[in-house]
Amino acid sequence: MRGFLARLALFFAVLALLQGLVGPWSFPEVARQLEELAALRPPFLLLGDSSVLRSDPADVDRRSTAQMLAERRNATVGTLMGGAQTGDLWSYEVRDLVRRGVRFEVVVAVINLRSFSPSWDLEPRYQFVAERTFLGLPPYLRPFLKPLVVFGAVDLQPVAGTDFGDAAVYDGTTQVGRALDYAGLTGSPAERERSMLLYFYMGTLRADHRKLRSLATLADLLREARVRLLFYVSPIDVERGKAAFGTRFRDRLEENIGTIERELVPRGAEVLNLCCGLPDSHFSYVEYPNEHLKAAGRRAVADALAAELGSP
Amino acid sequence: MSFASLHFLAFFAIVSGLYFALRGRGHVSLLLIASLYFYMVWRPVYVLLLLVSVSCDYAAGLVMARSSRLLVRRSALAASLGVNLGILVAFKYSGFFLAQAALVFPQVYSVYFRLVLPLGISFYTFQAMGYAIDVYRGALQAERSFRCYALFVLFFPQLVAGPIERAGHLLPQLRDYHPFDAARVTSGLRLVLWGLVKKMVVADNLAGFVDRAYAAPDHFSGPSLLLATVFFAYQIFCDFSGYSDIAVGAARVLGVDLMANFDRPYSAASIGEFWRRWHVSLSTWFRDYVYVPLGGNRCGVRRQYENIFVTFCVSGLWHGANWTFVVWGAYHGALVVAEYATVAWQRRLYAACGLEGSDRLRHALQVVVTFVLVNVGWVCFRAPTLGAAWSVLGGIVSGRAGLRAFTAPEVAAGLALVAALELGQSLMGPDPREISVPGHSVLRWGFYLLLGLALLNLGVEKTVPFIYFEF
Repeated sequence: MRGFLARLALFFAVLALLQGLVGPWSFPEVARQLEELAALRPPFLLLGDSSVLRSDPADVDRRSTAQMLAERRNATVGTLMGGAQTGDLWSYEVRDLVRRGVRFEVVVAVINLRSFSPSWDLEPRYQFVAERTFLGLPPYLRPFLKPLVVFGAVDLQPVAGTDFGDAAVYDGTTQVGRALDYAGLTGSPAERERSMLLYFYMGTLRADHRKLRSLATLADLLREARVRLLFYVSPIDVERGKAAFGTRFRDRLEENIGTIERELVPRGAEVLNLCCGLPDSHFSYVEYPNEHLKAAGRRAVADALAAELGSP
Repeated sequence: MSFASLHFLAFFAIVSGLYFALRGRGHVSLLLIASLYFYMVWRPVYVLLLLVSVSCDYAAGLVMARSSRLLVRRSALAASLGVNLGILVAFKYSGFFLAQAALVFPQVYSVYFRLVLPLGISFYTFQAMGYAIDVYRGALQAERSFRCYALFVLFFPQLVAGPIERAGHLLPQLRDYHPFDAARVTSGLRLVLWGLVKKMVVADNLAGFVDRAYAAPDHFSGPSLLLATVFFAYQIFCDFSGYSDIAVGAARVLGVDLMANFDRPYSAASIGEFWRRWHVSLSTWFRDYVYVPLGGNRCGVRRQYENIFVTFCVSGLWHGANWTFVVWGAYHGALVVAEYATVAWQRRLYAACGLEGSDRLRHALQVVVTFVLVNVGWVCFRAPTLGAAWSVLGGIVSGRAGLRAFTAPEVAAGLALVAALELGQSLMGPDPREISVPGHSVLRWGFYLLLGLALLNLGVEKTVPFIYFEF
């Protein structure tokens, strides 16, 4: 039996060794992105979501905000961007890069006010558990995350669909429904748009919101690493908001931005408020207002960021 | 407990370790406790149902063994079959039958209540009924030890999805302790590895294609539906034969030889041959306990054809309480009958086509035709309703363009999985239960390491239950 056990142990040892070589590149995608960034070591890093990435079908200039900013700064801008990504993922990614000895001059990160709403915060597809679990593991264990997931030892579904549907939706601090109520809205287009604006933006942001806490973690991390951190609040179509809610819409946004500033500025981060500066014509969306921008909108954001960052 | 989980791998390592460490002291109890735990991980309360079945069949066996009176023996057999079929009907078919009755008597549906289908119910009830019938026929001595009989039904490698073993084959093996044998254990572990790869790498990845296309067949193009159907043929083969490989391999580690359940079914040159290669333990069960008692081929030709057809219809219903399965069974029954009834006509056709002397070409043609016919059946098997099956078949035949189609990289990935499977199978020997790669030991190690890496990296990131768990 000893000979058999020795052969079996050897087999698993060689398998583990090979897995150590191939594992990090196979899962998840973020592993490859971080490898590339660690090799590139750009002076600037832009952390973004779809508002930075997406363009309008009619755009001639389809470059992302990051590419426009790179042109204005005449420098390489590294990016960690993806749909629905926020501070809860970025803090893991940046910690990993800092550990690898990557030293940025400036990190720019978008704050999307919609990300604090249950439509985003609790959406099961936007939890990035695989990525966060991967980055939370010691490097020598990372190659084994995929096998652990495949064999059911790690659950990548942290928010059940029912929990998401039951999430409370607030107007200010008053509960006005559940997330499920906003899944199949009926009524006139104006009524549906008003409901979605409420769902996305009208809740009062609490200082202990987990998304805000993750941004604070990111700020702490970069302050310790002595890296300049510039947050910017992404533009929102306030004209549509005003049409639906009057001045109350903008007041709620400003109130929430105030909460963000109170949490992040003392941590050494800068917060650039671009929330209310763009006209309706700069936004690109099919049905409900959101933060996706046309080329003119992305240019305006890149200009504002370049100005805030100062001369190259 | 699913075979495709870390939980099972840890469980199996511990049970195997204890089995050999105890050197035959209490090995039946050990395996019985392990099997109970294996089943109770799913829903503990349903083990009671299993124990009811085990107790009744054990008692019925003893009664039949002790009595020479026909009436007593028949009553005991009827009680055993009644309990098992009762469990099966209550948990698996009551909803289906009540739904059919409600079509005529709408008020019937008000008493309908849905029970969770106990895991492995179709397998363990059939295995238990086989035991009772064999004892009744005098083909088998009744088992005196309750622990041994309970282990025969509960033996964890084959408890939830077979192979459906015969008592005469399995019981004597379970009574004995099988000392450690490195060659046997290695052979079993290889089979487990190959089964896991088939299930977790091939079947689970192909499931993504199939699920998408069959969820909305009206939206998919004809070529994509065709591809999804072929992928399903490989998905279900790899899913179920993968399970069987793991079961046979795990049992072999413990010194127990389970029957082969699959033997390269898609290389069959006729539907009859397909059924001698596909889910063999079920096919032979229906042959011995349904087809033969109906008269088998010991009666007129017409009656024989009726027996074949009825047996296949019942086999279809065994797979699930849905008309799609009944039609699938009837379709295969009709094909087998047609094969037998047209033997002379087929010879004339081959002669007319000049294929009479060309055995290899004719065989290749027959394999292709059989594969196509089997795939037509899989459409019915996989579709949730007969209407959906019709929609898939219509889409394939018309070759219509659809709103959705698989992309070229997706198709390439799916075909690569199928090709890799066929390549893997071609490297192995003729025995479907023996995973043995010929050549230098370095090559063999390389092959198994490659399988291991594929398993660790190419599986899907969500749990895909074994298809036959639903049966």
